[in-house]
Amino acid sequence: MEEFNDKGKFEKEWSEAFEGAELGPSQGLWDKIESSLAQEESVVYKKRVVYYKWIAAASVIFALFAGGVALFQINNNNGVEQIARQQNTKEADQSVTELNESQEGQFSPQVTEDIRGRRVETKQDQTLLAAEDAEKSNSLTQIPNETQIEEQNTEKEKDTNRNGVVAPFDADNNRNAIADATSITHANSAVNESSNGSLTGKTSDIDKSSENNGSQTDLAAYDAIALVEEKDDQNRKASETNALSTGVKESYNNSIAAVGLLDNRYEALNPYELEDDVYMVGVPIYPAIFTVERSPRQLWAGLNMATGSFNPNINDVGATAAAAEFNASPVVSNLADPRMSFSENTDVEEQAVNSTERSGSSYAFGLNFGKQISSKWVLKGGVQYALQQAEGSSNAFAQNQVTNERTIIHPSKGTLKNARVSINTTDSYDLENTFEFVSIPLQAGYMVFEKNNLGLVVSSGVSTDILLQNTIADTEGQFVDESIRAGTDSPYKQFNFNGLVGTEIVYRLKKNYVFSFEPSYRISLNSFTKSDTDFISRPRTLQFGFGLKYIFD
Amino acid sequence: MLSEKELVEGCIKGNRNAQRDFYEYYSKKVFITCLRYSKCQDEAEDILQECFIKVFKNLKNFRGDSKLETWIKRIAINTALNYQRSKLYLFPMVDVEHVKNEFEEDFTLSNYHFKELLKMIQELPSGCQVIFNLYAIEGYNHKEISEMLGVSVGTSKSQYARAKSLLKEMLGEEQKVSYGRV
Repeated sequence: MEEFNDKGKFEKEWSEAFEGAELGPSQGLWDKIESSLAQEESVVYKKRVVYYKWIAAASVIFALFAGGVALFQINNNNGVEQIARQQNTKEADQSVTELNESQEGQFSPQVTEDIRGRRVETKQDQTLLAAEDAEKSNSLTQIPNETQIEEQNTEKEKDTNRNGVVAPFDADNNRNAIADATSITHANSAVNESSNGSLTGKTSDIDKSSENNGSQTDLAAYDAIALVEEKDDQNRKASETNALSTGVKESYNNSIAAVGLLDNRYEALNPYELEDDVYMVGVPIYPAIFTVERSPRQLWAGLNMATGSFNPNINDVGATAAAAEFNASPVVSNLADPRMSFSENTDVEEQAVNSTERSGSSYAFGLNFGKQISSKWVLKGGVQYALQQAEGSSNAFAQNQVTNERTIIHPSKGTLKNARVSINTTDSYDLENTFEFVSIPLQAGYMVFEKNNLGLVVSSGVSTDILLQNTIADTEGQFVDESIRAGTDSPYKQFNFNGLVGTEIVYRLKKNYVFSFEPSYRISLNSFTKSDTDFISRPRTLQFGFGLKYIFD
Repeated sequence: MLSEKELVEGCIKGNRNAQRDFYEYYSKKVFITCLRYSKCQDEAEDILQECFIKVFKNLKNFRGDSKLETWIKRIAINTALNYQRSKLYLFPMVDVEHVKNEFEEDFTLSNYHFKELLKMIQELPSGCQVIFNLYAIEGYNHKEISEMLGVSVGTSKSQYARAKSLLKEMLGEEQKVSYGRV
């Protein structure tokens, strides 16, 4: 039986007959291969562009959704807080009323004085005064500087020594403590008003020593006990005072939460403007409620890059007139592209010339910088180098009859009248029109959301584009590439203005470094082409950018 | 002229000039293979075109286990087989256990130009042509061929026997074959 691999002389001769044999295929085969390769690359590229488009669209939707949720939460929280304040105020009023009722006969709650000696006859008056105080507090919302704080602390220490008050406040929470104490004062005043009958009829005030005692930093002991100083009536016994304080304390325990949120309109009210004649009542403090982080006015600079899709958005406004002009010409009788014009010495085959342009890709990179101009608003700008590519196709080319150089016919090359050229039609081929320019964007942004290291900014603005040049090339390399510099030879304007909208998701990597992810959309505010061209172009770009920023201290 | 390594690197990067040089260098060698598996020039060019597109797409995966030319030829053969598969119908002929090698000791094709031999191969029926190429020229055995084409070993053998017989007839008509006489 013959083995499979047992090859005889016959097979050996046939195998050797083709060793080293070479035979070339036809000349045009490489062009077909090249065309197929370009097509495959184009398919890959288009898939990539579609992928980026989806990512960019998803990012915009996500950003808008996140922004919407953040806004909803902010608004919702404000509403809840307002309701809570109203409820707490009512509860506090109710507590005070109950206290008044329980102490009726001892106290005269109807006519009292508020903390600055104003007479308050009814609750309505109290409300009016509170509103007035709120107005004043607006003008007093500045945080005390270090010197003021030191002075205040010194004064407080004096009071502490005088009163023997132990105030368990954290020195670091000085401002909050001041605000809290003020709110407490407001509540105390209302309560003390109810006890004016048996006390001195004087208003209450916060004991300044309730804050910032260096040796007292235990915030856990929020239930501070008040010491009441009786100034006018020295005969009043300490036991009465203690009893009153205990009563007040019990009453306040019922309305502690209410007091905590009672009215932060007094947050920045400076307690040291108050009179010395005070009754200080300690109440729980909720530092978190009053902690308002003020972002510093930050300046940043960074690098960014973006990619996306570019749509030249071309319209033939002069099509009819131009077509009529061509049809009237004895040379050109069947030119389909109205954007092209030819000189009299141009030979044109009597076939339809068809040139189109469609979406392509966009790439940009550059520097950006910005500044936070308020807690929510930012201003940002930069400078970028951008490449925007429009794809297209054509079935014609121009051939110089002297040099035989073959070039692409394209609207952006304007009128062909500098040389004697013949216009020939051919199979449709793909071309690319690449714009190079420097872009200077300026945008205002609003910080929709900021939590931990993550933030969301929506922004809009304008961008000034300075065109450097555009290059027309066919993808198969059959024709000579041509670059047209911005200026008189170019049908495109050198300066163009675009509207910009975008979102920016920022993530703080380290103290000074921020990573940003920025989908954006831009559209030309006017035609990118000069007024004497027969077509208008208002390019649109959807971009998807990344950046790294450095925040200066 | 760039070295083979530089050419390959250029092709992987998508450099069109490198790809063209690569094509110019290997296409003549590979085109012969394509012609052996096809009936005419156009068909061979279609196979060659598809082959080079695959080569450029997969060149980054070439590990250098074999000669680059061998790797490209293998791609050309696979492309040709795929191309012919639709029209390839191999008759399940009678199993052939013994193919006699009559007069083969003195058999020579030295009097023939490869183009004449190529023409004879192209005149073979499609099934015989493919199996003859795979067995006699590429050097596969019948078991490998049966696996490649999804046919029985016997079918491969019988198709080859038929191809051999037909070729001998053609060679006999040409009167150039030397059987013991030069």
